[in-house]
Amino acid sequence: MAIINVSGLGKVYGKSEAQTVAIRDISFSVEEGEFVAIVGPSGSGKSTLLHILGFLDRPTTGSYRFEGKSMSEYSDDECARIRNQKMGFVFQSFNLLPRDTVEENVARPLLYAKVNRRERNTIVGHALESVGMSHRIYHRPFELSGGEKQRVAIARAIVNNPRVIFADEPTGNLDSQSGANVMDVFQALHTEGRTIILISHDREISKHAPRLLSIRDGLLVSDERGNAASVQ
Amino acid sequence: MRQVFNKNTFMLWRDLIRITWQELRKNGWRTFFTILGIVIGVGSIIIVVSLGEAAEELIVEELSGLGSQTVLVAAGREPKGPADILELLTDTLKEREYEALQDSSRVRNVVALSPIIFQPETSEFAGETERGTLIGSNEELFHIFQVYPVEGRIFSAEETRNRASIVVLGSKIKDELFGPSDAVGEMIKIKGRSFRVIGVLPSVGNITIFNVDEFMVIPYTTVQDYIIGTKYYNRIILEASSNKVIPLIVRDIEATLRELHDITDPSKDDFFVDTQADAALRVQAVTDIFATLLIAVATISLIVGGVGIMNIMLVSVTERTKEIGILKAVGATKDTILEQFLLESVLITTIGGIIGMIFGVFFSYSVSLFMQAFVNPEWKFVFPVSAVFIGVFVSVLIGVVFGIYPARKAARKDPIESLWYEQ
Repeated sequence: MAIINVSGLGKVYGKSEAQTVAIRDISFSVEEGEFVAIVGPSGSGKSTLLHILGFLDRPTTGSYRFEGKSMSEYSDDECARIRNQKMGFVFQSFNLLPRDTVEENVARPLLYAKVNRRERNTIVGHALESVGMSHRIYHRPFELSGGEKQRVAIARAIVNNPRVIFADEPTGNLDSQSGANVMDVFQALHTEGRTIILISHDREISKHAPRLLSIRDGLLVSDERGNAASVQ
Repeated sequence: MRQVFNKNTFMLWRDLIRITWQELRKNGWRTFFTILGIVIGVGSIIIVVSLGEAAEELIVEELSGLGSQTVLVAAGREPKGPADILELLTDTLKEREYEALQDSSRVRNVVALSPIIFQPETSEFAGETERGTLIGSNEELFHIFQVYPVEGRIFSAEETRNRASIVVLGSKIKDELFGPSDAVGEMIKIKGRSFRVIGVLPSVGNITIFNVDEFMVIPYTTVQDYIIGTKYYNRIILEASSNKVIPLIVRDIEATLRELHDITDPSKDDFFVDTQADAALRVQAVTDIFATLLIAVATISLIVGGVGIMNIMLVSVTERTKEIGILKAVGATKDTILEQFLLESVLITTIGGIIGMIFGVFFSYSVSLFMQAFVNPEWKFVFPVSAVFIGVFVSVLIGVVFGIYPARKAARKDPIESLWYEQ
């Protein structure tokens, strides 16, 4: 069964005259363990699509089934719980809490999941180790480089052992070397069998993903599998 | 898959407090100025209660001096205003009433009883004169007032019966008439009649309305027959066997005197009964008015402080919009955000309350030291236990009341708008 299944998905912002159609009639499915890149120029609607897939926003038309259950059946608080327990987010601008240490940032989703302190420390330790950031555990975000921040953000995204990781232009604010390192982390996660959905306007980055969805003017224009770069 | 979730709806409290504490530290000075209103409000409550209780204790002590077991019966109606003062000069307490009150089958639990006649009078010795208060009473008066001569003795029951011409002097009268020389055994003149000084009282100052130092105590029989020429008493003082029986005694006295005077309607009483508890109540009524006024000021200060907290929390919510977005993205529910911001405002007001309490206690203590040194050495510092509890409660309440609106505003923020909010 597909983890994600969208059909006829559309999102319209604003009312009557001032309406903007962000996406329209988008349908596709994602299976467990897939690494999908959604590409398109800025303003194409890919961010809107990611927000809906990540339960941060609701579609105006169409249906979205996550783990076989329609999103419309979930209340806002239930959506928050799904985000907390089944989804991980990586953003272009890292979105770390500036005053929390690396450890506290990564631990935050576990806090909302009521994991006790001792268990939390163990899980956070593993997550930081898997992104190679164990040596920065007590640092604060402003003491880290961009690439390091993003790896901490990835650790936070995987700390609750989510079913899907959403990444929104994760390399957009990084130099090419740091970007490559971050993409290596995603590759490793994919190899572990995690489901990843990544959006980017950069076709080079999206070459890491075996499956490529192209979006233009809010419409899904292509769905290609077997990206050359990923078949190594 | 490992089990990392449980069904508990609340975030772990320790973590919540840690996060909140970090927020407060970040905005140190801003937070400090915000809580000033709460500090002043709670501090005022503490000061009012502490100083109020201390003043009340002192006044009640000064007023009474008599000990709480005394009951006073006065002639005339209970004074309700200046016009009623004349009523005090009535003749409703006489030998008959005195004897009735002495009757232990009518008024029970009485251990001592004294009739009192008093009026201003001049005493004279060897050309020196001094004005004082002539007191006609019996020997039990000294026990009830708990004042005993430092020189000489008190008079006996027999001397009271025999209308002896003897007098016990207050310290001030003695000093004025005799200076440092001995008074006991000397003869002084009051209203042209000679009295032998048999005792001198220590300096004790005021006991109820009387200045004992200006006393000239003479057996009441002598006063009635040789000085005033009437058989009336101004007061009858009774001492109860314990505090607990005072209401019973008051009831017995009222019943006895009403029966004697054929009074059925208590509002027509031609006497009134006063206890030390009543006196304390009257003092309390006055201090309560002051306390109410000051508490009103404290309340205004707390409300102003609360509005300040609300204001700063609203600013904080706006400043942290992006953070709220991040928290929502990683799974914070509305309730979690609400709890976090509410706890923050409650923590702010509670800290303010605690600082206010420390400040209030310190201030009250300083005032009590000052009062002891310069005004009245009897002034005592009262630690306002009840006010401390009220202070904590009020602080938390202000935090909740004024924190709920900003906290709800934070909780209701849209995750996407918040995430992409740029400062």
